[in-house]
Amino acid sequence: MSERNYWQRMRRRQMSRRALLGASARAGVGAAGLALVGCGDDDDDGQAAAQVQQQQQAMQQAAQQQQQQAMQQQSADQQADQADAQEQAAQQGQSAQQQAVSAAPTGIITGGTRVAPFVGPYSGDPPTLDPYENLTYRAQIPSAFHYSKLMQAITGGDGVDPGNTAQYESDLAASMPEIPDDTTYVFTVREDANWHDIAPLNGRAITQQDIVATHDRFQELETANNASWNAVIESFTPGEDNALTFKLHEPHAPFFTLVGSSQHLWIIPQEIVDDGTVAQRPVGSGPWIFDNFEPGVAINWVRNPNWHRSRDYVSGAVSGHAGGYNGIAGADPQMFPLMDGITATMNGDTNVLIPSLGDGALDFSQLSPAIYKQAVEAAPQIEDNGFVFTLNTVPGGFYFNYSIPPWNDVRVRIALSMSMDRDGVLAATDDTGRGAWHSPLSQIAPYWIDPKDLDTFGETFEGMDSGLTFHRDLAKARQLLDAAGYPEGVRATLHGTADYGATVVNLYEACAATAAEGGFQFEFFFKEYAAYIASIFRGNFPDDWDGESSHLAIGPLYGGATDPHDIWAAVYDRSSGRHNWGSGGRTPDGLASVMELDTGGNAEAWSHPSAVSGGGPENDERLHEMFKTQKGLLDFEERLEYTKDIQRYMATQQYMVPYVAAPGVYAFNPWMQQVDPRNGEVIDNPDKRVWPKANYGWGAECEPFFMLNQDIKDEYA
Amino acid sequence: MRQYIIRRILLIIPTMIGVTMVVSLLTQLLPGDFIDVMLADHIGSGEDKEAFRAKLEDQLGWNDPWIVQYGNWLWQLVQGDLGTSFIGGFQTVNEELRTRIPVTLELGVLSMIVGIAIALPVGIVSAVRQDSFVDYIMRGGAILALSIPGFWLAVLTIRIIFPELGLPSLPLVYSDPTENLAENLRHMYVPAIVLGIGLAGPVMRLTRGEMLEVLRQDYVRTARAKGLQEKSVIIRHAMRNALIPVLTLIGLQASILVGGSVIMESIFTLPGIGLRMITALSDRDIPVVMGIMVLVALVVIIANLLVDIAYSLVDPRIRYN
Repeated sequence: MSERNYWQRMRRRQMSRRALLGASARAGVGAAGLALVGCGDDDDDGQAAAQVQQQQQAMQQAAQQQQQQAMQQQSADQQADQADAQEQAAQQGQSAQQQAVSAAPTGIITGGTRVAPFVGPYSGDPPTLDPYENLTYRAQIPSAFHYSKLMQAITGGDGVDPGNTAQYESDLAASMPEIPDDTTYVFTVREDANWHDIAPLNGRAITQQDIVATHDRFQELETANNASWNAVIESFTPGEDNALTFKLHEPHAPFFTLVGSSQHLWIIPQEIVDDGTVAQRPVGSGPWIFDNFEPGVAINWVRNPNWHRSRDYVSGAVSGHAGGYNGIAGADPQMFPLMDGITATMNGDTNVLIPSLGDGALDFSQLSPAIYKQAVEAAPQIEDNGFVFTLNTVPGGFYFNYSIPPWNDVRVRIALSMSMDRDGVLAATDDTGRGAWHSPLSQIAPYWIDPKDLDTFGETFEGMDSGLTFHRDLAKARQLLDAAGYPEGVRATLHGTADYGATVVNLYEACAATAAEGGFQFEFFFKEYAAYIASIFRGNFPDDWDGESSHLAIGPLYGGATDPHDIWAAVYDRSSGRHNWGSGGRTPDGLASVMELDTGGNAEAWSHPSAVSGGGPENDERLHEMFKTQKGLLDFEERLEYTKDIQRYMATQQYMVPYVAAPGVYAFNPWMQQVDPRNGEVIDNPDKRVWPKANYGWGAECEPFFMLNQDIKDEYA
Repeated sequence: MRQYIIRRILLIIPTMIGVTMVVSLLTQLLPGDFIDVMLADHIGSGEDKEAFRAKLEDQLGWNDPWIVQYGNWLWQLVQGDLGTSFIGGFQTVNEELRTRIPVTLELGVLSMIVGIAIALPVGIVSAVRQDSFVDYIMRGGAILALSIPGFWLAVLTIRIIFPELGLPSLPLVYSDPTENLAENLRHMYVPAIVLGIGLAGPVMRLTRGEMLEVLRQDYVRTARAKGLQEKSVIIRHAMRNALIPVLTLIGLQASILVGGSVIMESIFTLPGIGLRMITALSDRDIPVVMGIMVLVALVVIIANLLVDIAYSLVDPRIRYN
């Protein structure tokens, strides 16, 4: 139905002379811009590491600005200014609405339903549509379409990189919170937001009590979803004038990340909880209204014609974002979302995705880096619209149970890390040429530091080898194994699951193949996903160490992190039940550089295997002290530097031997254009597309700005 | 005959109990359970997880002995209730099967039509022209149809044949035939052909073999001797007798169709019971697995019964006591 409307609108649409001139001018500027970009891109492939570095620096600067503004400069004056801005915005919105049609910005096309796989090759049915029930990305991502939060990740703006996961702006909150002290945050609920206009909410206004009710449910729900929330939030109380006060147990630097995270406080109406439809028929206040979900086939949404954030963008009044939005003069305040609907298909088979992308059955798709070239070959037109490459925020690698030799010996773990040819693995598994190395943290910008860059990472940390443990040195790996009592190398069963897909299996095989050159002979043992999660993922390894052969595992350990604390608290913290790391394995106190083993060093101190003891990460007091310290550092710059030191320290222990970080890839067919919410202009340069570079919403928050240009599609057809 | 049919129908009950007991026992042996799947991405502390697990296990009755759990499930089944999906609670299993059976049935019927439409003419022609060039080609084709895995042919079709021929890719979203028959058939025809080719192989070979045997019978020679046209000899005298065992095979292929639908529905995003079986197994959604297994077992049992009944109808020599 929506398609038919779209076509009818397309036929009716007349391009005015002014619009024609405007479009020509933009095309000219765009062409010039593209030419300049093209000049600068000649050596792209050879400069992947430099690009990553530049991107990281830019993100650091942007994050610093934003965090400083948000967490340190929220004075009373600012609050007053923001209130004024809101009022002004409302007035502008009303005014704009009156003259919407005649003075609407040019080149903007509305209507149409885009079709794309739910999560590209990783698509699959959500186990539930209640995000409070399950934290899998399949349950959380749909929420980004139909629910709102108090805050959300910044989607764009001057001096802002949407890939920076440390930057947030208000959503259902009227403005950024007041921060009277280090453990108190006071939000004000906006008064102009409504639930979707379908039963049982029927478009009623969202109230302070709605948010209290959803918070109470989230906090009290007897699932494990809220554990990390409750560990931080001491109380949550409503006050006068729509105020909501969060009181924290202790200062928590990534508080905004927690509140704005796509894994926590989605605002869900109590009515659908009470009538039992929350898991089947969500009703929210987000940009898209849930229509239906057919398991195995697709989820469908239609546009919310009364999305509160549309008014924010059109008026330019977006709190928490200093001057990034200019407003869109003459536009319909409810112009966003631009498309009529969204269809997210569940088939993640690349054999289906690639040809479908090629002939336009799919408007865009996430791809895995390993099929990037295949996709370009099958769908060459997608190159005309550019790609979005996202950072890899999923940490993974070889992991262990430290009760089982030889992994209780840090020398063996470091030898494994130094045996790996990370660049070789990237060459074998990443078609994009943009991959990088994981540190003990995944690529969470701006915190991640690239261990390949020894100048930044540092060769050593407090006298112990740090960055060096990531760099391939087969001779030293052999020396370490020899010193640890394994002169013949190590044989082990490498556990994992093939259910993450062929791309991931290829990665595992490449890692194992390169490690073999350092003396590690692995035999794969893949379990079906549920069995793997129930056993290996939790550190429940077979313990039949017979003096010759052992067990270890490989795989991702966390998905969708937006702050270092997410990973550290969930994966390594002793209070997390996520993994059973066993005991043993920490570097003995006083260990000098393992590289000193070259010259004899302290090799004698390492008698296999019992001398190397003291506990795995769960028993590493130093590590846990560092974890605790970092979350209390409210000065962004100070915390940023400290998180880097944690990475450097963790590199000396190699509790998990990280593999590589191939980027996420999003391919857009040329008719998928986007309007910049900062100024209402059609984005001519795909590189300027508003799309998060690394976030758990997987771009859902940027979909309201996409438009389907059927003229372009017809040209390609 | 009536007594025989009643006896066979009554035998369905112990057969179903046996089948479901075995399936239920096997699901108990599966490593991991749906709580593990739910907890896989959770951040919570160990205590929270264990408390959550204990509470859910208690709610689901998993602390009861297996025979009690099975008995409870069977009692529900007797009342016509196959339970509710563990995960999401989108629909009851009854409702899931109700909406998904038509899709699988449509795929099965279309595949069967394709398979028979290929196998019977090819088998007959191959037999009539035994050891000719045409026969060799057709026999080779039958061997290929038998040996090529359906999933490989499906992927080959999508990735190479369709792009090379410039054909548009298949729809990614299923259309109800009552709402948009053309779009529905556009989605269905490739999986039906691929599945049908797999069915055609054995049917074609059996048809050819039976035809060869029948064509050597005295009554066929008699028919020819009395001057009947060759067409009439083949169709009226030879083919009808040769098709009795072929009918058996086609009936028994109902179970193969269900198995094949698991793969085809996954590749072509058809929301039938095969696709649901895959996701239910992956999620350890046992009520759904059990519900689908009940359905599949019933289909196979009833198909066998119908084939046996059909025997007596097409061959007067067969009498059941």
